[in-house]
Amino acid sequence: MTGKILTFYLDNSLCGIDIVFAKEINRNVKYTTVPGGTSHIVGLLNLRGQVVTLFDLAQILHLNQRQEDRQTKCIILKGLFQGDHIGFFIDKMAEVIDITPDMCEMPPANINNLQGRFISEIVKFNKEIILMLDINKIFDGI
Amino acid sequence: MLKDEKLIQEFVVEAKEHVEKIESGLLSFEQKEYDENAINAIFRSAHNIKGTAGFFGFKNIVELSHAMESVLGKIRSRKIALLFDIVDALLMANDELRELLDHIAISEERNIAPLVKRLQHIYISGKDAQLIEPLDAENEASILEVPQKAAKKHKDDVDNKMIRELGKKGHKIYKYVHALDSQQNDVERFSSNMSKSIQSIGTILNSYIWNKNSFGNVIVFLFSTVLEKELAIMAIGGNAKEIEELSISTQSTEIFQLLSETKEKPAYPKEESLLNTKQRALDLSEEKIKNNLVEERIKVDVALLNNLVNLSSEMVLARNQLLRLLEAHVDGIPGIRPVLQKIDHTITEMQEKIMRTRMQPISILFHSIPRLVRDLSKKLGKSLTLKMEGKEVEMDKSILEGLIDPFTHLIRNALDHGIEKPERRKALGKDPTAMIEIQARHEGGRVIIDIIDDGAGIDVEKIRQQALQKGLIGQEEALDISESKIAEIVFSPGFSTVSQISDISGRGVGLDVVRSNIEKFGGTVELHTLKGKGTTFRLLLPLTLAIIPSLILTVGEHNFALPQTHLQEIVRIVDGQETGRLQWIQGQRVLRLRGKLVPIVHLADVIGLEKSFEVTSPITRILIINIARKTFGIIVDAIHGQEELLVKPMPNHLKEVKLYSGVTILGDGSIAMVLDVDGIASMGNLVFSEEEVDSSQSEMVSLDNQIQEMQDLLLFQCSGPEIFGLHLFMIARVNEISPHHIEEVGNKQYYHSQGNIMQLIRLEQYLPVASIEQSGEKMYVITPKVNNLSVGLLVRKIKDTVQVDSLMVEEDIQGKGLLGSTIINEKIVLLVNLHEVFEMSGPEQYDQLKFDKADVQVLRGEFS
Repeated sequence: MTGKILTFYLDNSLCGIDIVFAKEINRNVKYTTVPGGTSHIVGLLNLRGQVVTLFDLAQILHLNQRQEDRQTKCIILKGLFQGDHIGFFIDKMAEVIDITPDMCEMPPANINNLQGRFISEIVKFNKEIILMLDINKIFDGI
Repeated sequence: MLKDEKLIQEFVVEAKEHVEKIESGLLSFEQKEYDENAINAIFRSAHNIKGTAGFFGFKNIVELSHAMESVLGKIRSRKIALLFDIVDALLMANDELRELLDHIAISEERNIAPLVKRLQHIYISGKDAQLIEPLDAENEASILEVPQKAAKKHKDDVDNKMIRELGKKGHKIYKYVHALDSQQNDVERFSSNMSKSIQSIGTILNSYIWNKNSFGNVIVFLFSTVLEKELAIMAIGGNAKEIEELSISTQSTEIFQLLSETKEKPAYPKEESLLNTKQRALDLSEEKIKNNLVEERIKVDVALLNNLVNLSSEMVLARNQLLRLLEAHVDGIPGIRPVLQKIDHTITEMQEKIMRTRMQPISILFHSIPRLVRDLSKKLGKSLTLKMEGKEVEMDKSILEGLIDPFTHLIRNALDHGIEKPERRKALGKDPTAMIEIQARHEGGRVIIDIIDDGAGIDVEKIRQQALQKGLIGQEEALDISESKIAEIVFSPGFSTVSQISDISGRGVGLDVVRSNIEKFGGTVELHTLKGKGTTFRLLLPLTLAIIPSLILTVGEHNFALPQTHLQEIVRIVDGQETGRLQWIQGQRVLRLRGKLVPIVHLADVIGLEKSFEVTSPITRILIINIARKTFGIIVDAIHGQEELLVKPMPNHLKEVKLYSGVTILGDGSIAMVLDVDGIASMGNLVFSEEEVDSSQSEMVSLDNQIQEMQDLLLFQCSGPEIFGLHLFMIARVNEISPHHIEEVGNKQYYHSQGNIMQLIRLEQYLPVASIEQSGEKMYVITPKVNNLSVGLLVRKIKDTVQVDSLMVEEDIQGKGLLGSTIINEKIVLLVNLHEVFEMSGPEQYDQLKFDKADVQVLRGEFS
């Protein structure tokens, strides 16, 4: 794709989403856990009167489980997914970068497993590799 | 036909929506292939129109939509291929439907037979009959406005339009012909009198006097009115033969002819100008109706409305924070106070208004009742008057809609069972005409609807017999039956006192359904009855579904909200006391509540939370839930109080979690899950059999009385005369010991108990009270519930345990080790502060215990 992407770290993986999906980034959020709920949902957040469902994206992508105390930064997405406001925790913010199609590549054949399903492209940026996440597939699919 | 214009208007608006849906659905077929959902939607729309039109008696609309529905039904079941000409025929029918709706008042007069025929042909043969050509010709005459055709002839657009407008408004056109004797020289007077009386009921369109022959004149009036012919005759005092009704659609030619008649002189001179002013008035009134339609109804997405409701409550929250924050600085900023005040008021009002967007007047519910009462009373041969009050009371749309069925049921019941036949009423000395009164009003944030009849009332004896027969109550219970118990029986499933089942009621499914329907949205039904005097059903309903009074409670670190609707009472059990009440059966807890066993679950178990075994409070708080007459208890850690909560729906990603019915934002801005008692019952594996449901029926206890937690005190005496009080929940057990079991080590006293050595404390050694040496043969040891501490209080006499609902702690008698004093049964009772006593008796030991301050705080808090 072409345009700006928002990048961040989930565990040790550098991930990116199209910046048009991002509504805001919140730090030190106070959320309520949902006992008895599904494990990939961390809890619910009150965002100015809207109930935002917070996901554990690392778990969905089968990346390593993060530490509890790291659950402080989250990205809130614009719009509704299955009728819900959605947010997910990240480990570390990275930068916003411009990408061009020549930086992008389809995911290599060997990562076409469960987590690969949610990765739309791989971006080669300097020495790093960014996993572009397919937000629609992730949050409409689960 | 129902003459209620408002209802008809509502129907037209709704039906037009369906017509639009049908059209867009049909058109979509021309673009793409067969779509099952779309065809279903169209089918439903046609069906809806048919159903409602049938209710109002619009035969043409019913016929046409029925024909469409049958064709659509065949398409749906793929018996007819959806070809373009069929879509065409359907679209045409749809257009006609719209025309009929546009001119609802004259819908009966339009000819729809060709269209219906065409659709029927399609229905039977599966092919279009190619009737298009002849149909079009016919259309000219029937489908297009007939007056239009006439208008072409007369080139008189004004008249044409006027007639059509009149037709739209349900006016009928009459011709009044009166032959005047030649002797009657008061032609003038007659015509002016007549024109006055006609004007009082309608509009004179034209009038003239015709010199028929030498014997006399004929006076002719052409007028329009909404009245039926018979009524019109009565109103103007004419002879039935003199008045002829002219149908707007079929006799328009004649009407136009009459309109343009100006033979001789007009009987009513100002006809030209009158027509014009009338025309203007018509235009104006039409305008008004249109405006009204626009003003009264703006379709707003319900999601958007709910969004507004959410935002408004958020705004209120933010305002509260702002006001709190600025409180200290208000005086420092000149002129800010009035601004804040204005914001404060505006926001309050705004929230009120926003909440009201979902509110609708109860008159919507009341509309259909007169008709129901009339039909039923006729059928049952009873005469009665209906009185309705409080039409303007508003409540949430969804509640109103849900009320229709229970309401109908209750009124049916009143008419069928409640009200006696006129002869019987006469014999009883009552007014033969019975009275049903429906009163709606706001009270205490709720809507109360009373349905009162002055009929026979409920025969308590009969209920008793029936209940005994069915085994709903026991023999002793039957002797002294309370009104609330009667209500309970009457509302139970399968109960009916009517020996004969009529088609109106008596199958015993009624009141049970009424109750469950009303309970569904958080309402309750009460029943008051007086034999021979009548019955009153009182429905208590919440104003809106969105705001629910709830208890805030805690399990572990989680806050939850529990809607109070199904909360019957709160039971508080203190460990060590009333040990018989909470028992274990096969690993499951049960509570003995007024002689019944109630299953108990711990909320933490149900929702899969780690239960903290480090129980800080020795009190077990059990919320007794009563839902659809199933009773069970939920143990929670703490109850924080009651809040009116705005409940938001569960996020869709969490929909499958059945434990919660929604989400709410608490006053501090944090989110709490709203518990779903039904979900908890099923998650807690509570399976209620029918018998259980019956046996667990518990008394109706008003929540307000039970919500007060009762506190139990143990009263005892030490060597002196003073009476001490200690909270029961702090006591593990009380043992009787004999004084020679007490051993002395150093200056401390010890006692063996179950292999443990317990240090004994005499309160009189530490508290400022009298200490008298006494050697009784019996002493008591009170073992407090303090973890790992083997300390007991040595007392001389256990006086009593008392239950007090709130303790007034006086601070008059003070001292270390005392919380204060209170008066119980006119005696001063000193309240012991165990922690301070322990601190004084063995500081080293006490320190090891690491009592956290919060705990002490809680214990103290209980007293104040």
